[in-house]
Amino acid sequence: MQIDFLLLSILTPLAVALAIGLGLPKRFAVKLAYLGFGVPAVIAVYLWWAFPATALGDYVFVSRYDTGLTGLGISLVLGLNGISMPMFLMTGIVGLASGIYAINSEAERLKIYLMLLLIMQAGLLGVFASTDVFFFYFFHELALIPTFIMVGIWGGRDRNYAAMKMTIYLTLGAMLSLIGLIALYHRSGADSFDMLVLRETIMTQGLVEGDQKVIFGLLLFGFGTLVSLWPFHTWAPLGYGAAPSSVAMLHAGVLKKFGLYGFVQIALPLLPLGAAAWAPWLAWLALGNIVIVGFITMAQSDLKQMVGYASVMHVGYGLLGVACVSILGAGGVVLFMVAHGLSVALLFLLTTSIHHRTGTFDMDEMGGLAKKAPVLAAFFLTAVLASIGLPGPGLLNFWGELAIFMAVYDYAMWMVVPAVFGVVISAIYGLRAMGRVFYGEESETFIKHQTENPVIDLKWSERVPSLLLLITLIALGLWPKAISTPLNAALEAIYPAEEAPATEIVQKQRL
Amino acid sequence: MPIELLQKAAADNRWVAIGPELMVGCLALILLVLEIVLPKSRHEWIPSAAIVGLLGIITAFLVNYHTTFVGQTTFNGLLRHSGTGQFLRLFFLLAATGVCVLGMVALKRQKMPKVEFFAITLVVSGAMMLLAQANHFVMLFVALETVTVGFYILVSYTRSNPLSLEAGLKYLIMGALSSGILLFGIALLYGAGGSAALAASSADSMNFDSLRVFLYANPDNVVAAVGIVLVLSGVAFKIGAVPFQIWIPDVYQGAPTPVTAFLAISSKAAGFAILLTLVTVFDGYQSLVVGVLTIMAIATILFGNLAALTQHNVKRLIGLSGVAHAGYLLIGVIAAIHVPFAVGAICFYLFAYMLASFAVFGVMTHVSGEDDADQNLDYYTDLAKTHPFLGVVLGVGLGSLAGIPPLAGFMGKLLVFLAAFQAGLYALLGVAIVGVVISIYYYFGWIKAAFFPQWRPPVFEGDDPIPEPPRQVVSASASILLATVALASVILGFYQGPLGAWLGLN
Amino acid sequence: MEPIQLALALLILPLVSAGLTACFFRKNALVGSVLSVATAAGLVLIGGHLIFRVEPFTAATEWLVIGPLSIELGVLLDPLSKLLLFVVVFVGFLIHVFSLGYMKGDPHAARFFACLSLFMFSMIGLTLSDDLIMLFIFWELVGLSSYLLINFYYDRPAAVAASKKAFIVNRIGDFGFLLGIIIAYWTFGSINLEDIAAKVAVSPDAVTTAMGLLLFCGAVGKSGQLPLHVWLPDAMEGPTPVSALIHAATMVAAGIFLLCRVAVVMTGDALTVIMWIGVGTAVFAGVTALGQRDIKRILAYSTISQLGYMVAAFALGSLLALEAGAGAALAGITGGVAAAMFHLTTHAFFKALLFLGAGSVIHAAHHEQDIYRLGGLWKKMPFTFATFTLGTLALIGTPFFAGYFSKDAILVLALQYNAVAFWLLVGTACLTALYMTRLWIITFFGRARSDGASHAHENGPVFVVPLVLLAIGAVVGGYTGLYPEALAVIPEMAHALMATEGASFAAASGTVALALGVALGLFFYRSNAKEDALQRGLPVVYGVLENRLYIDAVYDWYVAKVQQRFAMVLNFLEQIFLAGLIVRGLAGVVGLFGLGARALHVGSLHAYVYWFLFGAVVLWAAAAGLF
Repeated sequence: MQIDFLLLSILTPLAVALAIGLGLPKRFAVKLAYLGFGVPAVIAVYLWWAFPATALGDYVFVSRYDTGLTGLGISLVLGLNGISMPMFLMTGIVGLASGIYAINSEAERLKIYLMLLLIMQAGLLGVFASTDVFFFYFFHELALIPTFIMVGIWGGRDRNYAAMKMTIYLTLGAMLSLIGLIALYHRSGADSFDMLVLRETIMTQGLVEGDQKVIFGLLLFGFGTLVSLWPFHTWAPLGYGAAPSSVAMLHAGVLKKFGLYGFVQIALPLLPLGAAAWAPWLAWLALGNIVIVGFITMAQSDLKQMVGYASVMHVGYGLLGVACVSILGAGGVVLFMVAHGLSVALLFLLTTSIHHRTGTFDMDEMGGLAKKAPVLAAFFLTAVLASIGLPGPGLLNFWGELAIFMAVYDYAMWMVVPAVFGVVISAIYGLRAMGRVFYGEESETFIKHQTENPVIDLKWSERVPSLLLLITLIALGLWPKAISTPLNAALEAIYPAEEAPATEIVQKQRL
Repeated sequence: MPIELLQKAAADNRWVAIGPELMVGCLALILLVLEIVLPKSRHEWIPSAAIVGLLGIITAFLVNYHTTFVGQTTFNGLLRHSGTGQFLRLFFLLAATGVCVLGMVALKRQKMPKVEFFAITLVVSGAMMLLAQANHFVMLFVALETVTVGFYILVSYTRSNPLSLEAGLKYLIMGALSSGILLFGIALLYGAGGSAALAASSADSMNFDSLRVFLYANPDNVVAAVGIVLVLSGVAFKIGAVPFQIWIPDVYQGAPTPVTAFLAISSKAAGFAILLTLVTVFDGYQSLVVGVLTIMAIATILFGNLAALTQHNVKRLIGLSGVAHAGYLLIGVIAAIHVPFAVGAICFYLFAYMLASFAVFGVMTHVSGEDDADQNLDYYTDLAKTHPFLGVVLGVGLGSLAGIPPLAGFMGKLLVFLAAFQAGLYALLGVAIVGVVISIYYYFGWIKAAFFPQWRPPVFEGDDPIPEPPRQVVSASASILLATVALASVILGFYQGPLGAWLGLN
Repeated sequence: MEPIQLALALLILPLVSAGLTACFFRKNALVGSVLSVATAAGLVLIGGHLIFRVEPFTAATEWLVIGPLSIELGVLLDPLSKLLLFVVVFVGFLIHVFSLGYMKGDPHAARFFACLSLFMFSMIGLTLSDDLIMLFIFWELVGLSSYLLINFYYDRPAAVAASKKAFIVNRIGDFGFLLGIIIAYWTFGSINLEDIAAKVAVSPDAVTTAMGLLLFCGAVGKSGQLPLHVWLPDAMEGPTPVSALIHAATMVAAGIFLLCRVAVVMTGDALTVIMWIGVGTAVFAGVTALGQRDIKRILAYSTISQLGYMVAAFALGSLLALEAGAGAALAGITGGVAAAMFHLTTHAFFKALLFLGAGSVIHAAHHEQDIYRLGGLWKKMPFTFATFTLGTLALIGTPFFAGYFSKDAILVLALQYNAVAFWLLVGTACLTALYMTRLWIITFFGRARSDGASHAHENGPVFVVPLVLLAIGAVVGGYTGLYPEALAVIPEMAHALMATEGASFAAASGTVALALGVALGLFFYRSNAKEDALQRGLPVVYGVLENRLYIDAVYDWYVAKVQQRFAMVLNFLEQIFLAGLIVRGLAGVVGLFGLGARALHVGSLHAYVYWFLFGAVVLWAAAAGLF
């Protein structure tokens, strides 16, 4: 009998969580947690490796389960296509990294912490594994709920307000997108949430432009809020500032990609007209993310806040890529999502490691940390450079951003200028942070802090997850085809074709 | 009256059809008998007897759930047995069981007679089961009054507690008033339907079928219209829809917690059972009915959520949030006019709501103060730390009420929204979303109190710390109930399976 | 071995050594340095083989395809890249050797050498890349390694600031560069250099001025042209060998290399702009150098000035070619490219020599860099003095030294195209002679003006050998006859220029300018002067020069007062309005409604009854159709 790896990858963390919830003794719980995070990662890598090159637009590893609502066109359908496979891979890796970090963190009530984190991980895997739009949403929420609780219980400064604000913002966003999806479900005439059925129906019957506009509008603001589209982003820095590291890693790294992924996988291919109508709005707001939030990031003196703002800013690139409504843009967005997921997770991890050593997030109270913790410095520098898209550590980010820029130029020539200028902005705050935290002289407060708790360099429990993320990032950057080939195949299949640039010159050459 | 008519009636009295109701009634009597025959020391057996009996009835009912009566009318058109009816009967039986369990827990704490509570609960539940199948205004009114009268007693059950008495009084007055309105409406309809001058009038115009025909025949008869509105108002009292929700906070707070649960769950469900029937009856006056219900729904959702927003007594809070839920369900009712599966959606919603409410009320009975009208939000501080079990159950219950995946409550909302969207009720959907987002605030606030580490005011020398009632130890039966409802809420969120099948959702 | 495999080996080798050091020998200075120097030696071997034994070739492989975007990365080995590769590996090796001595005893030497290898990797990749994207990738990587090396002493705030400045200023240049690449891609549908050249050949009108200028932005950043030159003098905070290798000989020359690579897409207007920027930079930097006291800063400004020469050379030559080709697009290696690359080569030798000489001085004088606190070193450090002198002679273009020929070629081009540019460049030649004489006299003659200088003595062979080898290069580097034919192509073209009309006049005026400059220098600058002659004479002028024409000041003002405050204001607005008034305000309003709704439950039975009846009546009215 053929094993359904996707279902297995979702059920394993849930099962482990259940076991822990039923009161497994701590030492077993910890061991088992490794399994809960490890198995999905292994499966993710395996599925990436086993992903057939022949799969064009359509889904592979598909399996269906009846949950009792098939009559309404709701049933659990799992499968991967070229778009979701890279995301699934990234989810597995980031999940494992944050899991390892969480297991080795000295969080109080560690068991509950791990339990919630496992549930979150299961939800995340489900989001990208499900081919049924309803379950795509459902798993997102499943992953979202633990976030609130974890922020509330293990969070840092003003966690209560942060948790509340996140909850309300994200519920609003989720509600809007739910209505949007329901509208898609009904208006498309499919009366089914199954991606394939939806695609089929819309291919054959088409969808009125008016409907497309309304539905895309709903999705735009729904997803937009979830992705922290300017000006609906204020929950994000606050939330990430307060969230415990592993949660921040998973949320900023993976969960937040839900919206972008939804655009690429669902909204753009199914609602081309609506997308075209809304694209200018989206583009403008995305520029708001890049430029305005970029400058705001510069003004931060709290390291974690800064990383949070930085992630909000970078999401702007993704949204801009979506606004291009093109294969190139969408492909760039997916590459960018994978890259950003890995790099921002790494940043949050190391930020917490810094906090463990300096006892503060305030960059004015740090300095000269590189002398005491050179390895940490090296990792952090790599992470910063990756997140600002510097080829090398950030080669994958660079590919993503490059593709997006190319698409933007094709979509609206002048818009590429502020977009690319974001590269400079991120370089400024990134290196400034690097300097303030690691270089120069140590601040008095830091020296004082060291007297009672001396600084030790990066521990292995921190190095392993960091390396995991870093190696994946660099490997994929060096060989982007590993994910871009199936991705491109899928996009070519479900998006309208585009003409290559400079065709007339090429023809002239042939003559 | 000619004899054969009576014979015909007698022939139509198929007592088997209402077997479950009869059994429930008998069980009530048995309890009373037990009180007499059993020595005082053994009286604590009685609640258990009630529960065991109910479970027995439920099993019996489930065994022949798909009875041949479905789709027929019995008792000379007094009752109509439908699939929905069957489901609602099951619903009321389950609810009764839950209430009895809560009663066991709660009544232990008050020095109160233990038996009557269960007897009355059973009788009321039986009446509700009949109500769900009523096909005639006489049947409907009698059953409804049985329910209401029963509640008069239950609400003021803890005689020692002034709040409870006040609540009882308020419920009495309000209930009487609404019954009056309802009765007046029925009278008007009867008059209109019976007046030979009008087309399709019939002698037995209280019978829903004939009334339906009559209303179709006279689409714009003011008397009938007013009658319809008044009947709807009377029912609106039951479901606590604005503007007839005003009694809810006080009564909910004053009534003993199990009774509050009973009101919140069964009484509301009964209201919707009637509403679902009536909507089909009043089909001829669709625009009117839809108009009235739409106004009610919008007002109910907004009012309920806003009023709940700032409550600090969780019992009032849950009551007002229940008002909001009535609003969501009203959307479903309106959708049901056009979209057939909406009925199933409402049933599912009600079922999920029942599970969640029992979870919450169950926890409340354990956390409440001396008299259980005293339900301060602050009592829940660190509940998850000290009583993880109660904490988890509360979390699941509230989450389900808030409609958060992967819990049953979310599926209920989703189904209702789906139906509403298919019926094209976009404005109502918009209102519903606003409501849901607002509701997150207070539900989450409650969860916050129970789960998140709270800042506590420092306790200085001299002044005594904030008094916090001791939390009850969870009895076996209660823990079984809580575990069951919590688990069911979670499972139904992932897998609707047979329930979906029963409700014709797949 | 296949040439492509050789090329890849050349590329990977330094990366491996850097990686090994970073992972395993962080604390082991000895292993790290030996490993890195051995790698450099290996590079010389492989590189030499590639340059002298391997025919020009190109090979590419598909890297990334998304919809219309298809990116092929590959290697291109042609005379241009061979010349730069030659400079990189040979000068690089010598500087590695020099560093052995210079970094002796530094606890972080391993990190230094790892970064040096990383730089070699990036620079070789840049040299070999056959397309704009790969060029850009390694372009950024050299920037990174430069960043790492500038803040090698990361506990010095000055070094940290300098590195940050260097990186960000370069990023600004790359901002334009990337835009240029994007435009080029959408214009030609390809990023491959030869492909683009071919397409320009078929439709010359496809090129636009914007494209050319944006690509030039990259060069402006890396090669320290106006107005992005500010990072280069500060970059001298890094160890001296770094200054020699990266910030004089190779990396900063990458900008020139880029220009030569993308010459085909340049329009006349673009070239004119480029030319004036080049000339302006040359003059400006020459003047500013007169106001500096730090030996390395003086050399840095001299580098900027020479880079200005190269840029100008490229632009002038290309403009001439354009005119010759009657406006058609450029193709092949023009005189401009030749002159620029030739000057790049010779400059690499003598400027590296000068920097290493300075390094040797600094090392001997216990890190004393102020020329007015040095002095009297000529007999203490004879080898350094001799080689430094040769380097100076080469730089100022003394006849028959390397610099003479390359500078002469440029002057010829200028003379042929634009008189103003010509005279400005001649003037710059004079300035060069002047500030170099100043530096030379004050550093080496008179008496030691600090105990550091007084205790100075000649360094060991690891210092001297590279100096001598570079000195040889500096002396004979101008004679193309000595170049192996694999490299000779470009230098010979440059020499050919000196046979064209006006060459003798250009040479004469250049020499006169040089003589004048030296004379002025000898006249004004006294070896034992406590303070600068200009400072005594024209303190105002000197102040302006000392403050580098206040350009850095303006930038600092912008960053601190404009940019940062703007960011602060935006942040404030977000906190107050977005997160404050709007969000919290909305919540507050909802809360008020909540209180209102709650207040209706007064608890009085009468009120409830009335409320009830009111409701019923309203609905009744609705039913009766009253409204």
